[in-house]
Amino acid sequence: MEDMILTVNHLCKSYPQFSLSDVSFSLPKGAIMGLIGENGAGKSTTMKLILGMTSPDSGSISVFGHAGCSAKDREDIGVVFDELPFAQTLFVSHLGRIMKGSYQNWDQKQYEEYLQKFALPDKKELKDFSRGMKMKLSLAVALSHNAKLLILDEPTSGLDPVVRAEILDIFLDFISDGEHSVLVSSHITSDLEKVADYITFIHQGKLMLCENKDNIIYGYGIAKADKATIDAIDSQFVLKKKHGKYDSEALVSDRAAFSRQYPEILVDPINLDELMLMLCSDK
Amino acid sequence: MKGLILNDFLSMRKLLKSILFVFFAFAAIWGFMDQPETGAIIICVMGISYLFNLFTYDEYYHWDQYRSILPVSHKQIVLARYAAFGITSLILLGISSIYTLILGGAARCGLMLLVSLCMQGYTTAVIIPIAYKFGMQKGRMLYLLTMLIPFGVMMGVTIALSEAGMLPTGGMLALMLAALIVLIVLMVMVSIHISIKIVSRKSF
Repeated sequence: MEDMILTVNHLCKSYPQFSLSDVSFSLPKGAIMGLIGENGAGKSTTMKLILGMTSPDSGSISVFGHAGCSAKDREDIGVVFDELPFAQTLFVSHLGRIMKGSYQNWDQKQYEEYLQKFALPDKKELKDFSRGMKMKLSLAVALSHNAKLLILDEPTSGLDPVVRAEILDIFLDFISDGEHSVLVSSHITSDLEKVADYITFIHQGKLMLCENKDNIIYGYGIAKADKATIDAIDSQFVLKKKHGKYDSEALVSDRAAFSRQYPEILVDPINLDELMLMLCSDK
Repeated sequence: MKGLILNDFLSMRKLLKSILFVFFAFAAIWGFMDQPETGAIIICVMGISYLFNLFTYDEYYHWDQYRSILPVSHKQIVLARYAAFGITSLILLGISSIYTLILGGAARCGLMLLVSLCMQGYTTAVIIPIAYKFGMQKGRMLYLLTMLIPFGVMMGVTIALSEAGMLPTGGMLALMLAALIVLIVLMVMVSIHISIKIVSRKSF
């Protein structure tokens, strides 16, 4: 069994208008897991539960091999929220001083290197930073206290492709020693296709899929044919069927085996967006 | 915890600069009216009231959420906020004491210290749990309502003592100060206990 840095078991949390039900997944060391799902699907709730920002109704979380997420564990977790959570009148040097007084393992030199690398000036208040700069600053903070696990909520949303590519490179660099891991939620599935090792898909508070990304990209496919042909496919191959006005589609989990069995049916590779749409479809 | 206290002061630094101007104006006006102790009391209470903004900043900038993922306990979060109030109170009391001592003498300074300490202690003990529980928008209103009672009593006592010419003697002042400090410490301790409970139950 792989060494897990994070394990989520049957997590449930109910709010008046939303419920997260029975979400389970594990993140091994040295891996990046992409958390995907529509707005309000439960991605942020899952992250908050992992971080202990709210308590689950049932289920359990194990971080760094033991139950729960204590204050000591949070020393080793770097977190990035989708909004910069610091007073906008601060300067980046102020933030360095605040974090130095908050994290025992704070590495001021590393922080300053990231500030330089990201070209973040100390002469501007945070309110004058662009969204990209704010996100880079959040990342600089998360990466400057020798965290072993990064938990990132929509870190690349609203950023241009150049900045996004820079940030993705940082993730890959972060996990390169095989001891560090990243859990990242994003609507930009193309980013996750580039860097994620695992994909966890949550839809309306329920876990729809937790799978190795390569299995999805290279294994899953969409078979397209008329309704009668799709309905005739052996159910062992089919994860989901969708019937449209003019044609029908089936989501298959092993397109190589499917093509051997049904060579006459066209089966296309699938990307994460298509997978989400297919699994969310109620047709 | 040091980081949390630092964040509070650095977040407030711009506001503190603008407040200084108001304080100078108050000091000048009340000094000119030969009531430095009244001016000093107002400065002490006003100064501590400006810290209410910290709770607004917590909510507005989502620092309250971020703070919850820092490697600090709920107790440390709460103690850091009380420390920010405490440090500010001491600075205000120090400055106000010098001001009153120069313009009004030791007895009036003692009276000012008594009332200011009482008001600051009351403010700190009441506002922090209220702000944690209800947020600053509702909290401010609730605090103002609760403030009417001790403010009325304190001002009444101060005016009555001044008009009767019954300025406290050294021994009496020391006894009153000691009793007051005990009362304030007790109030703040209960307040801290309640605040920790509120913060530990908070979900984001």
